[in-house]
Order: sequence, then structure tokens, then C-alpha cells
Amino acid sequence: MKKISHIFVIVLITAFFTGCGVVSQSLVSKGQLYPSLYKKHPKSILVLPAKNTTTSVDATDHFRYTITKPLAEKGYYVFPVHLVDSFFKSENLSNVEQIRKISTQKLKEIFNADAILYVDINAWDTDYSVLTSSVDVGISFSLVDASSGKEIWQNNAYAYTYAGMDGNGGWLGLIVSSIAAAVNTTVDYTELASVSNTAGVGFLASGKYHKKYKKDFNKKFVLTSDTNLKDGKLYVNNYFIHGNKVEGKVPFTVRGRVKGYHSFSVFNYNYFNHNGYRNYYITQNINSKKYLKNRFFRYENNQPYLLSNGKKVFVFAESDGTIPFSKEGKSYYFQVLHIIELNKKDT
Amino acid sequence: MKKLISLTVAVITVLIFTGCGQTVQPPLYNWGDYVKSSSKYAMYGERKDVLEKHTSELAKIINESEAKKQRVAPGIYAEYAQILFETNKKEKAKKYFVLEKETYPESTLFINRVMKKLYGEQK
Repeated sequence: MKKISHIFVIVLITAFFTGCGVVSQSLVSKGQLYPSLYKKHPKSILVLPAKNTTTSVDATDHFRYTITKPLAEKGYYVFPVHLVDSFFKSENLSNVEQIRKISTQKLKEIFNADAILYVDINAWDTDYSVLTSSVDVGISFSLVDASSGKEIWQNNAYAYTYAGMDGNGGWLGLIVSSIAAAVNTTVDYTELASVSNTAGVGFLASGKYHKKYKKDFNKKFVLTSDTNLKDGKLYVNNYFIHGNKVEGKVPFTVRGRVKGYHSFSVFNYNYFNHNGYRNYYITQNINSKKYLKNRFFRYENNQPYLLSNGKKVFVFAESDGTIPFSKEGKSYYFQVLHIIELNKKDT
Repeated sequence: MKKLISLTVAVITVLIFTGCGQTVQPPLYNWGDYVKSSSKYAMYGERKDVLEKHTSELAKIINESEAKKQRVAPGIYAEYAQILFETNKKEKAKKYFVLEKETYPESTLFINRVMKKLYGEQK
């Protein structure tokens, strides 16, 4: 038994490191990842009602009322949602579209909020069968500086819940489901929204009320991606273009469904090597403008980039937001615009 | 030894699912059952039992935090004040609106605006 446990540990450790797709690793500090956020250091955040771009009607409210806690726990002052709601109502604003059309400058005038958070729910896929039930959720977060109206931080999060028979997680599924043993068969949307929001804002800079305020700028972490930079071209894995066409066993992915509620930020590429995301692009509604964004790219000043071996590699995007790719033999690549070297060695 | 291994397995598994290496911090605030209670209140606030449950949850969070000399989480005072006002305890509500401002100066402009709406020109 002892030996088996040892093997488990080794397998898990290996799985942990390879599970993150060791094609390209980038050691990044938070400050490098979110320069605009650290420049502005907002203290207070006004969360506007979430926009639901899916056809599911029951999704939206759960996200609005579960986001205060994770944001406040990051150290931000979050304007009281219920009070904000009734304030808007007293101004005859009850429609999400109307509220999200108010300029950030106007919002600053009314609330004195440093930053406005726009939340878009862009995937809500349910699958209920006799033995299992699952819900997949995709959310985008955009934090906009209230004075300038500019986006200072963005993130995509993915969450799912699974109840019923164990998925095809194999031995890992067994271990995890034994850890998260007590699972209800009905879906708790509040819980699902909570975990999605927590993952979504988890990488924000620490705010004023957090003891790490202004101290986590240099906090480093390793981000991995299936990318390869060569001759001014950014090569990506095929699934980046086509998704995972085949339903089947892919280790460490959402298809190995594990009971309970799970979520993560969408920037570790193996995590989205799955079928949970059907669309490559999402439309984000920020500050009454529509933006076409790619789920798997990160954005800085609305320019898409990917991390590759310690570099921020910005790629060309059409004016409508589409990011064109080219094919070379069996490989796909993007056209590189410019590169920011993150970890130049001191000379 | 066995315990240690189980622990390692658990920790690594948690690491995998929290997205490669985020550490768990002790919470800044006492939230009690706020998240569930607040969501339910948002959706079924007109139900008397839901309103009462949420009101007592907010009061409980405030009492517990204050007793431990812990800062009350953002918005809790204000939302408690709002419910007090709406259930006709207007004078008591004032105290909590003011507490929100004192605890979080960021809220001052907005709370003043709300108070002006609710109480008229007087503060």
C-alpha cells in the first residue's frame, strides 16, 4: 500500500507539471501581466449587472450576487449591490442594457468608483441525462478605469459542475471524487456562480484592504502554453484553431468530469483542450461598445497576445477583432506584431 | 508517513484544480452565509421568510465581526441599513449608513447621495 501511495505521489507530481503542457513556459510577475492595473491601483469597484449573451434566462442574477465576496476578499471596496440596484431603480434604470450604456465618467460622478467591472456570461451549456447532470459556464470579466474609460484588466473564466456517475477521469477522478465526496445531485447555481467568479477575479492585484496591497507586483508564477515563436511567426497547437474535435479521453481536461463545482482562469492551455468551449470567439460588451475577443488570447490595450517562453507576443488582429491565422504544412501560426521580453537577464 | 502522503496527494490535487499554484489565504472578512442569503434575497426578496433570514444574517455578521474587532465586509452595513429603512426603521438605518462611510471612505459620495434621496436634505 505504501508503495502504491508513493507511486501515486510521483504520478501526481509528474501529472501536475506535465498537465500544464510544458511546451512553452513563462515566468511572469503579476505586475508584468497587468501593467495598467498596477499603474491605476483602483481602490473601489462598481460591479454592473452581468450581461447574458446566452439563451439561458436563469443564469444572470447568480453572478451578480456572488461576486462581491471574491472581489472584497482581494482587498477592494465593492459597492453594495442591493443598494446599487435600488439606486438605479429609483433613477428609472432597471434594464441591463440601459445601465451598461452609462458612461464610466458618469458612473464615477455618481458613485466615485475608481473602476467599473463588466461581466459577460457567454456560455451556459446544460446537459441533463438520467444518471448525470452537468452545466458548463464561460464568463468574461473586464475592469475599466472609470476616469479614462480604458480597460485595465480582463480575464476569462470557465467553470463546470458535474453530478452523478463519475466521469472518465479515471484514477484521478476517483481520487478527487473521494475528496469532494458530498455532492448533491441537483445543481446549485449560486455555488456554480461563486466558484466561477472566484476563479475569474483570483489573479487580480491585491487591493487597499489586503495586506499584500502594492506588495504583490513582483509575485511570480509560471504560465504555460502550447506556443512556439519562430521567424516572426507564433505557432500554436492545432486544437487552438479547431478545438478538440473528438469527444474522448484527454487527460486533465474538463471531459474527465469530476463531481462537484470546478473553475479556473482560461490561460493554462491544457485546460481548454476540451469540448466545453464550442466557440473560438466571444463578443464582449464593455462600456456600451462591442468587442470581438478570442477566448484563448489575453488582451492589453485591446491588443491580443499570447505568452511564449517568457515573452508577450502580440499578434495582428483585424479591425473587427478577428485574429487571422495561416497554415504552413500541418502547422498553424499567427502573424507577430511586436514582442515584449519579460525576463531579460540582468547584464 | 501514510498521513503525510495522503496530505501530499490532496495538496497536489488541489493545486491541479486551482490552476497551478495559488495559495489559500485566510479570509479577510466574516461572510457568514451572506453569499447564499444575498442571492436568495435578490431573487425572492418579497417573501417574508427570505427577507427575515437575510436581515438576521446581516445582523449576525455585523455582531460577530464587531465582537472580534474585525472589519465588517464591504457593503454589509449599507445593505443592512437599506433593509432597516425599507422596513420602516429609518432612524436606526441612519446609524448603519454612517458606519459604511466611516469604515469605507470610498463609499462616502454614494452613501451621501442615497441618504439625500431617502432622508431629504438633512444628514
